[in-house]
Amino acid sequence: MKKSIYVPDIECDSCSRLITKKLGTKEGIKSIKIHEDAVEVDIDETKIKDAEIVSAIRDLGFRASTEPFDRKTIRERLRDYKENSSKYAIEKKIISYTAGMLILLLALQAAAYFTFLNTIPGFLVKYWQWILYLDITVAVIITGVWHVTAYRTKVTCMVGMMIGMTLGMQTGMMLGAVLGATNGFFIGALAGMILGVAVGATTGNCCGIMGIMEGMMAGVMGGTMGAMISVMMFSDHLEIFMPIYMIINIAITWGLSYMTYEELVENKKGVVKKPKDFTTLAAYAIIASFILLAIMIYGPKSGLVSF
Amino acid sequence: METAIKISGMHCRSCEMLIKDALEETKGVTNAEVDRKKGEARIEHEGLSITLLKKVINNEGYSTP
Repeated sequence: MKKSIYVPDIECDSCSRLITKKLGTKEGIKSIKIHEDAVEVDIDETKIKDAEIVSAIRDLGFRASTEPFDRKTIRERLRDYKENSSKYAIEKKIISYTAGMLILLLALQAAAYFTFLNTIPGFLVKYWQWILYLDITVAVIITGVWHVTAYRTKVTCMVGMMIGMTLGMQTGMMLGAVLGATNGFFIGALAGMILGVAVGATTGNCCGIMGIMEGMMAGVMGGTMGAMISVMMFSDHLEIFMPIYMIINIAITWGLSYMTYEELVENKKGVVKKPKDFTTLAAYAIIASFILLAIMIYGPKSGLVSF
Repeated sequence: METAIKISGMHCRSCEMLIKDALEETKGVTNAEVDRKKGEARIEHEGLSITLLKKVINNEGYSTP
């Protein structure tokens, strides 16, 4: 009788050989077939029970069960990340790319400050934290988009909608809040909404119209809502709110990368990896950041904000 | 006596176990410890030649530089 034993930790040819070798010594097993995350055995049930096979595989140090395993817990994922770091080559770059882009943007802006922006009176005092938040937003969003678009594969509607919604919403929320604080509701909502919709629709496009719609709606919502947060909170400890707000938004964006890996990449066949290089990303980041910076400094400002 | 042999091509715990098993099944080997992080095997044996021990590891599909 054919039975499937789920063994999610099979990683290489050695694992298959080890399991085959160990099971081969047992009586009552007629054939063994090793799959990516399961072992299929044809057994004579009068001679051996599947529970014995499960425990034999467990003795070798693998997880094994007659029932399929759930997704990895965060702890298991961290262990896997440490032990099989080659699986996460693209994911590892997320933090280094974000940091690299941030440093690059800050360096270019420092150069811009010393060439012409320092003629604006009180520039640094007014703008320093908002420029920092703007750069963080640009770097985090661009690496987030870079990560989901690094993989070409079939995307289910549920995953595509999550991708479009998260990136559309985060773009709108973060940019809307930053520009809302420096320029007021009109520019904050407009820029947050337009860019949120654009990012949401482009990334949601991976699963078709459902993702596009979800991304656009999230962009409208995030952009207007982000700007509203800043404008309404301007005279109520916005400086304390912003760092917490940014950290949470970064965590959400990185959470999406985690989800993308788990849902789209791990254990999936036919995933094509085509990540763009850092130079391309940095070029996008510089263009985006300088256009937004120009809007921030020279764009119209509402009477509500004290800039 | 104890011999240490460098092994390349191990990438998981299964590799360690396969090599350990193969060595311990060899006549004259009393104990074998394989460490993939160090990339080596420490073998306690009754005076076998290094060439023979390397051959056992090679037969499992791993190279011994």
